[in-house]
Amino acid sequence: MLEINKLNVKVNDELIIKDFSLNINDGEIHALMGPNGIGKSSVCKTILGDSNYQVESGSIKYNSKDLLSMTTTNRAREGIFLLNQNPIAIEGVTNAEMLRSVLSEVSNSPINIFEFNKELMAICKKLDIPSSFIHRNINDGMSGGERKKNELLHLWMLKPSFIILDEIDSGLDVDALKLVANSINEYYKEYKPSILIITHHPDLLEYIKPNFVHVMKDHTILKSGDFNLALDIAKNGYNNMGEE
Amino acid sequence: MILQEEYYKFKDQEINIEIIKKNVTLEIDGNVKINDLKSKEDLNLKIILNDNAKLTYNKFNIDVSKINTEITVNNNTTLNYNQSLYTTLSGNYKINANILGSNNNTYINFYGVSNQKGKIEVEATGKVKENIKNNDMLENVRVMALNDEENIIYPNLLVSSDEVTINHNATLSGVDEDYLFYLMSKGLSKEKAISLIYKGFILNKLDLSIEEKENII
Repeated sequence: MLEINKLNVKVNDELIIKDFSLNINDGEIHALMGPNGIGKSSVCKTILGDSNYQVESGSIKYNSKDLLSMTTTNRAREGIFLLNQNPIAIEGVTNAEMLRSVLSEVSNSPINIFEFNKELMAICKKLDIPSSFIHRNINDGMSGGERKKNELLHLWMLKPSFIILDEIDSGLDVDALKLVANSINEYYKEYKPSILIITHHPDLLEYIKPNFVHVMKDHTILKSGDFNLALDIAKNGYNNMGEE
Repeated sequence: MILQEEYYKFKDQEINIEIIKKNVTLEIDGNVKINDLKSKEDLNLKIILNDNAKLTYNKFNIDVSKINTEITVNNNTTLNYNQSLYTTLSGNYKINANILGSNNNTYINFYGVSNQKGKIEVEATGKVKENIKNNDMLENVRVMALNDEENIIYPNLLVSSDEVTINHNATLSGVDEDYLFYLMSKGLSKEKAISLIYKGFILNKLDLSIEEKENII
């Protein structure tokens, strides 16, 4: 369970998250919506401990453990995974090298290369990506859609228990979005993780159905509800929110 | 092959070399690939590309403090000169490429990483002679510091011809914070993430297989 309580976060001395509270139980899917620049992505980066985001007050706990006192590495090892809207490319570091290093460090022993490659090949097939992705540099020279699939390759290998999808719909055409959403749904069916979906378009939520929807305004959660709240936003937009 | 003489001529071959002589000249004909990954000494290296030669030269050094490379390019050649260096010493490195003829593609990459007391000073100079045509040249010099020492790049382009496409790129950096956050957010320790980042950086331009790269550093 993720518990965010009265979180206040600054970037460059500007408060960009204000009194933000959110609880996500195991296996629940939550959507965090709101217009651009309201602080949605900042919540993701803060959960994972990006050093550009200074927590002024409040707490973030995952399975009762204090995330704010942990390094980004340890937060990831607790099972938190961020699928970014624009995953960066890293020159010279291959997917296989990175994944092998993580798994080896976490298990504190060398990994079985045969089993590792076998699993990677099976995931490539599942995601409909060529097995050459395994030895390509991370996201290097890949289109927006390929980068998202590449991140899914990481997700399936690392098997997180909490997934943050930060505007994964940005830069994807309908077919690519369906493929990514189907893969997330398949993962959910198999591993039952908690999921936090960040988006400003309700369209994505047609493919990955949330249990709860929260809308941000003025850098905090203004309103929470079920999927009907997303439908309301699709119909009326964000502008009149909170004025009724 | 261990090079212990001052002059060698290579033609249509792929070869792994180790240079143990201080002054060496290599004359290239035809299609040649050279992997120079084990040399440990200071070096004055001259490379001459004869007409129609095509050379890929992969050079990797650890803790070598002085390397002067003088490249002479004639006509209708293609050169991919990829030099990578990891150093904990203070060192001086020069690459001079002299384009004397027409219809050449000359691509020079220098990637250096300084660590501990290492300090890298690179001077890369591309000279294009007058009255020659259709040359394409890239001079790409990048240095990453894992320490607080001051690294220096002097990128020089001396062009006397009107018909040339020439680009240069010079960057001095530390470990990219975004790379670090990304890799740590996958569960890598900070130390391992830095190690992957600098090794990836330093080996990326070498035209070698994954297995060959894994055995270098």
